[in-house]
Amino acid sequence: MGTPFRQEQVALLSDYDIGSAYYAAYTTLCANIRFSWEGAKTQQHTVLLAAATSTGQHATVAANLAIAAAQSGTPTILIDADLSTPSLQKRFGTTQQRGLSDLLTEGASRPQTIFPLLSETLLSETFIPNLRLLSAGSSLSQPEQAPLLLSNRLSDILNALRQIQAEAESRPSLIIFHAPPILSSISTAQISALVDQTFLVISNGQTTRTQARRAQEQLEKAHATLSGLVMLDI
Amino acid sequence: MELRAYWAIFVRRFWIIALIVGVVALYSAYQYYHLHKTPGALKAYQSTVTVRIGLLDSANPTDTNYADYVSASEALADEFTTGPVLTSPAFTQQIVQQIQSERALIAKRFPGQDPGDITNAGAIAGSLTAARAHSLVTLSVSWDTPAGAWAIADATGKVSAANMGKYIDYVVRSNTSVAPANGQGQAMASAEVVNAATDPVSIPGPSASKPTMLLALIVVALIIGLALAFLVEYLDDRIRSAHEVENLLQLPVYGEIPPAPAPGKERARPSAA
Repeated sequence: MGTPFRQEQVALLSDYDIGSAYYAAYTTLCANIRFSWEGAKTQQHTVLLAAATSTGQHATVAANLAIAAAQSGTPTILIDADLSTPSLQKRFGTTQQRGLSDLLTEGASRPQTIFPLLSETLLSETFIPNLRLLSAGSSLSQPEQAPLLLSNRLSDILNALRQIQAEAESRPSLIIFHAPPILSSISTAQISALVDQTFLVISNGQTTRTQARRAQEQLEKAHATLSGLVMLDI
Repeated sequence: MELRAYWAIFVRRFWIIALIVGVVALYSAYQYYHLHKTPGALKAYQSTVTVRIGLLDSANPTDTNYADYVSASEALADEFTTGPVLTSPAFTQQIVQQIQSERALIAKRFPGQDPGDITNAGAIAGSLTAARAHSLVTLSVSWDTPAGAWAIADATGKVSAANMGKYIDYVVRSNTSVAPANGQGQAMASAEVVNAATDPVSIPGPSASKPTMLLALIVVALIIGLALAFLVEYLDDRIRSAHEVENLLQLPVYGEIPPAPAPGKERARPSAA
């Protein structure tokens, strides 16, 4: 199979000039996150980008951060954990339709299948070198079960992803989660409890102080490691 | 708060300020237009005439009492100045008749000028004011045209001189200390024009201060608009800067992502052939 076909749907970071301010902003964000890894226990660093409420842009932030990391030479896996409104598979134009939701449902009955499913089937190569995508997958028959499935299986999935990265690369690698808005889904808080770092995405002029505080409180309840903020101008 | 932050609020909420000031400015402009179109509202002309009021000389010299005459004259002048004579329909109607008889004189003195509605008795009554110094009464006429001001002042002086006894003789009718005159058993009030109607001078009209008030209204609207803009900003809960959210959540900002450039911009890298 050749390089996956890329659809020109949404302007991703790869569409912009490396010298542009837009590109530089993501490079800076990526570098700042990498600085915070110093002394980390594992080489496979997991990060969650979580918005307080839906802005329509936070999926782009996760995608562009993953591109910036991959283009800087860091092996990266991007996971679309927004099972209610999946978008990253379309943006990257990958052909693999199955993804996280399938892993959750199939892995629930057969946990031993998680690793082979991930490594052989579900992780898609993207048009960006060093960047692989685990898309949201086919729709769940019962979307309300997503938090339950995540709480049962996410830890196993994360371990499998770390193992895949460790086997493939000796270099430090990055696993980025894109999740639904914190205040609209408990899944995000569940993910935040398992990842190394969580970053709260604040949309300038859209996110209110109340929403930001409530999102922070929710993450604190989940014992998330809330490392910092990403300010997004829309 | 920094000055730049105030400026950012001003720019963000400019529509509130513009809306309030705009509405008030439109109202003020409408009011000013009406003032401008109303004759004499902003600018008027004044002409004055001075008359001396007194008693006709007694026919009986033995009854002459100079002090009584002076007192009576001042009382008559006071009555004419503060009493209802000046605004009475009979008096103003006589002024109108006098003006009509002097049309040619007015036209000759002010050629080609419109004297205004100088046959309106009510308007004439409203234009008249009087001030007294002893027995001298100065009658002032404020009118929207110079010709009208002069014509009314001139006619008022002439009517006063000719008919004073008719309007205020009752004042001395019961005054037995004053000697009877003219063989009629009572003194007769009289008046003479001391200073003829002066050339009209320009004076501020009754609404001359209104344009300043309208301007002040716009300034007040601006202040209210600014206050409202800052109030709305205060009530607006949305986060506006990285510094603000850093202080709010006590967390560092790892990155600030600018708006994605419009398609076609910052796309210097050509696609691979």
